[in-house]
Amino acid sequence: MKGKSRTPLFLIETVVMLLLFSAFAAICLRLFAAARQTSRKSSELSHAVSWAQSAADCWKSADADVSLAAAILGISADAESFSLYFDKDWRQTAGAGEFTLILREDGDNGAQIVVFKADPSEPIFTLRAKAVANG
Amino acid sequence: MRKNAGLFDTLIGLLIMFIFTACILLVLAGGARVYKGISEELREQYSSRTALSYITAKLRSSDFEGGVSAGEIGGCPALMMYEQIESELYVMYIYWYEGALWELFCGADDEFLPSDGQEIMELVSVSFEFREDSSLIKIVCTQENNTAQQYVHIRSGKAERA
Amino acid sequence: MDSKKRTPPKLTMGITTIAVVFAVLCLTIFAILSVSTADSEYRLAKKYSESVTAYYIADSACADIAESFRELWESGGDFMALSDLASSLGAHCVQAEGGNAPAVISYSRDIDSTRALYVQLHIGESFDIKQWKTTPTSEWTPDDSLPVWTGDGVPD
Repeated sequence: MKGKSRTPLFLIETVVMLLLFSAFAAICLRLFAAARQTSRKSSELSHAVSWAQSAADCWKSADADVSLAAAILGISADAESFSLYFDKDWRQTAGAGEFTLILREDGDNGAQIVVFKADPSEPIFTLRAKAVANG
Repeated sequence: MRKNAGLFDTLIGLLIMFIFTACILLVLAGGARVYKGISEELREQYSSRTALSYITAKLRSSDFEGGVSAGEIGGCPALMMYEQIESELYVMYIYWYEGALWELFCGADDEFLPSDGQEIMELVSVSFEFREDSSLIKIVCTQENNTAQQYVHIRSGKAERA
Repeated sequence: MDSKKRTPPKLTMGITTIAVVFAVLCLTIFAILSVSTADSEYRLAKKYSESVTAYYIADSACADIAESFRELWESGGDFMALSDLASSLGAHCVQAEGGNAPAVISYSRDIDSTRALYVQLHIGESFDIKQWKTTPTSEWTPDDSLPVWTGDGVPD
């Protein structure tokens, strides 16, 4: 007499393992997504810090002259501020990009630099610089 | 006929097992790709950020009159930072040579080769450019897939009465 | 005599379980590695941003002081006035040697626990910023201790 077929047992095992694997894979995929998000945040912060320093130092070097500082960076400026735009790879773009840096003078030889993504009220990085006239 | 049914069952079982294994391998490959992407991105970012912050820190610690200049060593772009120690003039060279950022500290009159320095980190290229009457330095560091730049202001200098 | 042939044991039972265990193990390791790598990188980026912010705070404070001296110099303040201002701002003021020598004013502001920003101004015919550099405030001592077992605790 032939033995019973083991296929039903195998199929049950496969289904159970499939369910378990799906559950674990969902958890791990969430972790991957979180890691990707954190990596993106640290990249944005690094670039924001670097560009904020550059903008601040250009402005200090230009003796607090916003238009001269903007000219060094290859852009145009308003009376008291200029804006830099960057794409998703932090390359400067002419028009509105994914990231924005705004340098705005706040009087008394000081300037506030803000780097943000979409909402200026949620900046990635802010910096305040002061110039010494002719220094 | 029973034999055929048994064979059919086995074939179905094997097919399901192979499909299941293929799916598992796909998910594993996807996970490995994500991890590889994250670590490569971080590695590249780390190199250019570290190089820029290292050079910036060196410049800020040498910000005194006549303390910094840019030039070349053996055809390689270099930054020179001077320091007076007990009436002797020393120079800290930071330069690019053979695919890496190097550093060398020696007397101002000493002769040396670019290979005498200490390798700091690998970089595809780096350039130093003085702008605006030597009060602003533009540093550009290039890695395989990205380029990072930074401006550093040198405060020390003379001002005339307005 | 055994008429029935012994069939080789089928490998299909349990193999799925082994494959899933292996896959879950690999996925978990990748996921943990990714999260920890990204986390440590973010902490480093945050630390660097705080260091830069601290530098610019000290830089602004020193710029305020330098600006006060510059305004006094522009309005024709003499060495005594500069010296009085230096005292009020916590700076040092000495007269350099020689005729028509400039006043040498120096001060520093802490950036963080390991660095300070040191400024030196020469004020006379012109307003010179002679030094504006970061200096270390603590000496770095390498940890060259080597914990070696000296045999304590072994009965004689």
